[in-house]
Amino acid sequence: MVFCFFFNLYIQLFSMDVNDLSKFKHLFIEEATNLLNSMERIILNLEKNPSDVELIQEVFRVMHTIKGVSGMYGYTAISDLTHHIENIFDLIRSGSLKVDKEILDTTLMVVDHLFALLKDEKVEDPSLALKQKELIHWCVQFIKDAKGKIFIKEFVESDSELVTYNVILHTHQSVVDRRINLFYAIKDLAAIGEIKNISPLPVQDDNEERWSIFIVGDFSFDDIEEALMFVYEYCIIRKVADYNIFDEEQSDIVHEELEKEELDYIATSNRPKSTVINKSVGSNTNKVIESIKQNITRISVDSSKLDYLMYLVSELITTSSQLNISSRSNSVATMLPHIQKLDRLSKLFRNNALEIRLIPIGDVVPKFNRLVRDVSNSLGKEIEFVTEGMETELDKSSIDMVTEPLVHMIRNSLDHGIELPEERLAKGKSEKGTIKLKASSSGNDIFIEVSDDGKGLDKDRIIEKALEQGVLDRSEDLSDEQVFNIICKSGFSTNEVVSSLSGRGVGMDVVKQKISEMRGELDICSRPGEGTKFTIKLQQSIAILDTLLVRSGKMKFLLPLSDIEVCSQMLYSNIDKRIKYSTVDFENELTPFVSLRNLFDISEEKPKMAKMVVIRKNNKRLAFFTDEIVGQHQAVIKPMGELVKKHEEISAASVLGNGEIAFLLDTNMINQNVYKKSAL
Amino acid sequence: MNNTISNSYLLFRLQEELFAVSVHKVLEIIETGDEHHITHLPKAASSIAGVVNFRGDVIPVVNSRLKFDMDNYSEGEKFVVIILNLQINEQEHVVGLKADKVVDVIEIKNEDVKPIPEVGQGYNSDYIEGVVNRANKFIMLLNLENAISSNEIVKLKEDTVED
Repeated sequence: MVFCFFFNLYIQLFSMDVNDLSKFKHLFIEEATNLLNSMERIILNLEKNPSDVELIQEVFRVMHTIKGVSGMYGYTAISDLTHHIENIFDLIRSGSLKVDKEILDTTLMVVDHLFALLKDEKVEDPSLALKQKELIHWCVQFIKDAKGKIFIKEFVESDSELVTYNVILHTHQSVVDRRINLFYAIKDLAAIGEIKNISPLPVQDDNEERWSIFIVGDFSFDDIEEALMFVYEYCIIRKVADYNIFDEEQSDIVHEELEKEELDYIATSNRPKSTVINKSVGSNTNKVIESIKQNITRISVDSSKLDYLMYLVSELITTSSQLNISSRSNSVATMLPHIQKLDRLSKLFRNNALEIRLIPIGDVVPKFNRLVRDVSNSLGKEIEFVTEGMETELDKSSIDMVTEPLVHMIRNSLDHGIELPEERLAKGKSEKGTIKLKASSSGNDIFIEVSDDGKGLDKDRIIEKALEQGVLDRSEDLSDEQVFNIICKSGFSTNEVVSSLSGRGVGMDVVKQKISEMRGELDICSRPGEGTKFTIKLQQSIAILDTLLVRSGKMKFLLPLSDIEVCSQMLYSNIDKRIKYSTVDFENELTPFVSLRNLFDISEEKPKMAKMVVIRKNNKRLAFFTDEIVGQHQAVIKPMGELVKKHEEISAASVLGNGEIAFLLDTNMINQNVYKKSAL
Repeated sequence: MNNTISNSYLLFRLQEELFAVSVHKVLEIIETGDEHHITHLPKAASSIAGVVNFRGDVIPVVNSRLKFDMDNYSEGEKFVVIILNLQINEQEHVVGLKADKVVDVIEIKNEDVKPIPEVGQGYNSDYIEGVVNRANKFIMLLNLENAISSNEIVKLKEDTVED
């Protein structure tokens, strides 16, 4: 892949105007984005198999490529940073260093940072610049340490002299006025010790900034004072400990502290937070959703599909010229075969276009992997993320839309589903929780499941909370399904502690809303103590649908062909007799029915016979009665806009060949309504 | 503030009232004159006349007389459909608006736009941005974004007393 990229770029560089670099810049950004995306996957794999030489080579190659090409386009910050990472992986490659968590964590941070740098070429964002310095500093330090270790071999370093200081740097307007470069101060700090953490603190207004810096090293208070000479009056310096608090054992305490600070920050400020080297868990969901959206502006297509497209194009051109010639003859008979061929071709084009738009759901999985990894780390939970059926293909637009609900669902499982390790052991489960993402297809339907082996949904607690929060007004006689649906109501949350992750009462309602926007179904299944399973059912393609066109009076309606089981007919007079029962006898089975005439108050004169279309939805049969079955229609689905969005029975419209409008019946809703009614 | 800037407005009539809407929002005027061009959408709100096929898209048409609490069009009465592109909550909404007749396109100076009169008939300032007096006729500048995005029947006059 890496070589391909090089190859592509060089081919294009030499075959086109070399001076016109801006064109290639665009190409560079896209390809670099792809490479960085692949980095996430590689690093997560590397975490599982730390000694895999192939993977280490791959990281090295990717970094090397990015370094080389970014330099060409003037992305000096990127080439700088990748150079350092490349060095580290060079050491690993040569066997002098071993892959460890610190390296991987930092590499992931670097990847995130590089993503940001792609958008901010000149590093105009000060927090980015700061992070850049920090990351490079880490790399330099790391290599220095590593080289030191290589020389000293097994000699133990004496770390008894280490102290940890915290510096709060408060910069307001006067700093800017005096043109003091804060970075020099930080650089000087870095010279006396190791900067372990830099994070922003809440501020009162936009002109000021507050940073918290943790520094570890063998130095005295005077050293710090000297390093901060120019900004001393803006600093609060305090000694935190007589040891390195960032040592393995102590790190938890600091994280807790920082998390508290973060929460305070969130509470006091609505501004987006840019944490420098600390993991910013709070914005994770949005980050993931955002990055997936960016991810799929370009899709890679199986070349055989493109070959087929070319074949279709050549057929189209031939057919249209044949049609041109035959149109001179003025005879319909000579034109007819060509018109038929054109018709057939347009169907093939449609299928081809739809296929090209299909992408495997696995393309977004690395992002989910990353989410699970980061969030479970910060929650102190051990979670394995398992996937199945990731080759299942979905329309690009569906993937874009389904990502957000999936992120929310996975986070729900992370946050509420999987218990803490101790809790799991006490319950006799394995320490490690599992979250599973499974996709499968059947016909035009796609099923996506997010399941966990956590504590499951607590029915009583949901009811209790729902009553408390006013989303429910009675607690008796609720089926499992009804209770589970409560969690999809807006403003509902059972989490008492508002963590930075979820529990803010947004989440499941967004999931439900997004899925119904895609005309999908959401099913929740849960057993106390055993886990929860969310299943999303979607149509593979939502833009074009094969439908059956029917007519009642003057109105035309469409039924999704995939729902239809059988068509038949019946006397209208018989139906009228059964209307109050809402069921008819069909194939010796009492079948609920809907007469489109009754449903939509169509009063024009009735024909004698009614046509019957039987559909199957959620494994339940439902019959529709209408005047006429017109035929099959490939419906290009058109939304009707916000104004008529809340329509219960009609979900969209489609324009027929003659310009008329037909309405797509929402078989889901109608089915639900009919069965709800018959249950009463 | 420069008050001499003028803008073009499309002037249309609903019963006896004259309304104006900025021409920038108007995409097209369909002089249908007959009911068959609008596909009735069953079970929709009464103020929705139906949907039309506009350049291959399906867009809703608002029955403005019902929307603004006036008497409905009688059988066979002529009307036009003004296709508008409105920005509601930062989203583009293409909607049709039934009107009795398109009267004119006129220039209205910003300085001529008067706030709605506070005495007499109380006009609802949510839906009317201002009034212009032209040849002794009052023209109401509609805030269609607010009117359309409201699900309710919009009362342009706050008190229903007619003179």
